[in-house]
Amino acid sequence: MDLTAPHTGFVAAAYGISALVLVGLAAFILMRDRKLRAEAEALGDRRTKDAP
Amino acid sequence: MQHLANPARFLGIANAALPFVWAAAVACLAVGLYGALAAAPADYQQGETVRIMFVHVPAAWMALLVYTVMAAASAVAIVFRHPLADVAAKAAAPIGAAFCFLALATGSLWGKPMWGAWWVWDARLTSMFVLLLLYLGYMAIWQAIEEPHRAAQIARIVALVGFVNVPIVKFSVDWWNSLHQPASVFRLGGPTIDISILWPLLVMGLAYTLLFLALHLVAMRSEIAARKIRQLRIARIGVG
Repeated sequence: MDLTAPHTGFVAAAYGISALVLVGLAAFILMRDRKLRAEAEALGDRRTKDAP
Repeated sequence: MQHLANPARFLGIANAALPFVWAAAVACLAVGLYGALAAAPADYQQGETVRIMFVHVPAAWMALLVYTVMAAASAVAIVFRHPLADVAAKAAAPIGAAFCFLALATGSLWGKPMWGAWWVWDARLTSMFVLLLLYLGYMAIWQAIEEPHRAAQIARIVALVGFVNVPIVKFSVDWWNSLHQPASVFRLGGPTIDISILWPLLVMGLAYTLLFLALHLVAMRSEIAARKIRQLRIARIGVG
């Protein structure tokens, strides 16, 4: 790729925003998954402990 | 399909498949980016700007594919009462919305140097914008309605009615005069673009599809956990 060609700023911006959105989306989904699974496990354990 | 109806069985299969899907997505993305930024030649008319195509077109494909997945899952939920169908549709929506936003944003970044405008109310661009609104509306229904069964009923209808827009997006460039170029890959008669540009585009398309698959499996797993939490909390209130 010729970095001195016209309009390379538009190309860089397109790849930059794609990376930002996709990495952000993946991070959000993975962090939410970790939090919810830990919470479900903790509630399940508490339920087992509380059972008569 | 019914074999996967049990969430526990689905989670077992998803957890086993996820490392392979992630690895395949990262590998395809690496090869696709090499092809897009290094191997593919500059276009004789558009110059280096053509490289925006390798992130714009796969994002647009995925925006349409994910909405189709949502509509199909919603139909399955209505017809077969498959317990994971609503989970699949709900989990897909934010991912589809992100791809749709990327298609619009990168399209705008491509449009400015090529058309001289960031945005035009052209049939393709407008129908794509409507698709983004449908995604956001679908997600808003799940957020706004607290009772999950009621939310699911309305969300299914929105997903199915909104599916009408998918062929409109696809064929808008054929049905109306459009500034946007017509289909050049998925068309009768085969692709019209050169193989040196086609292969990185297809590899990037595969990378985005695998990325969607990985994120969708994780998001479905999260949604199953969220439903379990809700059930456990209701059970605790009932016991208390």
